[in-house]
Amino acid sequence: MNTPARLTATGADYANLATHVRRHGPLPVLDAASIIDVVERSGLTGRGGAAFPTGRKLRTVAGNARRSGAVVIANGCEGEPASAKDRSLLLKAPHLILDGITLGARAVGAGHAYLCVHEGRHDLLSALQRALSERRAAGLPDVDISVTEVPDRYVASEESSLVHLLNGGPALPLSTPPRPFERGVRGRPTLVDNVETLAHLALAVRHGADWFRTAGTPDAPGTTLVTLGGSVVAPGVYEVGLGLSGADLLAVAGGPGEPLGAVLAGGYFGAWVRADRFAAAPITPHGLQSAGAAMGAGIFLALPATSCGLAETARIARYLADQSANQCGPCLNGLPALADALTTLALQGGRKAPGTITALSPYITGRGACRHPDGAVRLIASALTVFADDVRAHAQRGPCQGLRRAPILPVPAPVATTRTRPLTPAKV
Amino acid sequence: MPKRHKDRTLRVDPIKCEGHALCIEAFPEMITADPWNYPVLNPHSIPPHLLRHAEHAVKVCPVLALRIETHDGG
Repeated sequence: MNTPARLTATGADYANLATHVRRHGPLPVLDAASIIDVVERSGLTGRGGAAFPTGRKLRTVAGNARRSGAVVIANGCEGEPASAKDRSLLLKAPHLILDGITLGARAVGAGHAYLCVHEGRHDLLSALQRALSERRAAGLPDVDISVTEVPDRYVASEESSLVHLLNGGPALPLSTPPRPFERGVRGRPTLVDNVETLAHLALAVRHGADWFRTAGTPDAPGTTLVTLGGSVVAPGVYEVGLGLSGADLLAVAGGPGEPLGAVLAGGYFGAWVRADRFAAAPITPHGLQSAGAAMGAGIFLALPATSCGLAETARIARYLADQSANQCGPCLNGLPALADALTTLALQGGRKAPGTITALSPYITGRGACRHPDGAVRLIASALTVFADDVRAHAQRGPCQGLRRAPILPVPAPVATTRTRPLTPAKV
Repeated sequence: MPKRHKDRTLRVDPIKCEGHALCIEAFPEMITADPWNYPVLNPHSIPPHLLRHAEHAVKVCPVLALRIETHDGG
């Protein structure tokens, strides 16, 4: 299969500045209007999860910032536990990301940028410091870039959390509006982009919109980094052209390790898709949406047919409930209630849980300050649909054989969370 | 030309709201309780004859989480 390597083109474990410039050429000299124009025509969309058109975001922030000046945040936090692509790119090709930050800052009129990574990642921090000092030594006309460490929890890397943190507050989501692109860091319009998005931007500006569109599809141009995990022969981070089929995507990682039941597409902010449906689905934001899932941050986790999808989802549901910032009632009460119901169904069986989940879910979606609760509800709903046979079997005969298998999906060890408010029991 | 009128809707700040539920008692016509006794707001515009009830609900919230948002209607 033809998989065009762009971001990973140098093949190096760490592409130093000389290697980077030899492969990609020097940082282009373009004015703000030309950068925005190229990025808009390239059709690049955000690779952090929301797939928002990057050119439109640049134009909006630039327009809002005409008088005040703007700020850039490059989000390299990778809040999704199953994702490894941002970390991989930060380690291997930091100069592409730093180029993208500088070009993005030029486009929106920002004098300062923050590159945010989760705290305690010493290998990442030293790779970035090394790259930044190479650039200083070479006298590159960079914007002023601060590397900022962000607390290691799921909602800390949500864009309003990052703005809150950089404004001196805790890394917790804010009630919106104003949105960061209107008023963000120090009250200035703020461009928040995923680090992979900025790396693509750096290449689109170098080589042009037509070049960018030579990979991918007309609707979803370019390449994307994906994290392939679960039951595949060679789990890892890969770069693929958008628009390949689900079957071809799994083949990039050597194919399924055994017969699959379902694939979790889009990570813990995505949804389950039956394996046969996934195999035929085009890997684009729109194609995955049609299959009932999401591209998310490009995470695809393959679940063997003999695993228990309900037990796997129950573990993730518990993790997502624990990761709530506990700021909004429907999230802090609702997610543990869903996790309890799903855990009961998975480990004990019974007939009550699906009804409880269906009754509570509408009271959770759309009622938080951020989208964390919405994502958890969507994932759990997809489990009840895709694993409907298991739901019936658990109700009639109790837990299934799948529980004997070791869990497939990675869930970080629980950390002590600060619950600021007591739980309220649900009246159903 | 139709007369311009103000379109008013209820809005709750989900972070400030602590589920005291006084607004639900004050304005049951447009605010109901979720399973945890947090307010669920009717998203439609507040009919003019209920506006005083809405203002009362805003006033009784002990954490100032509820407000009336005004949009220019046409």
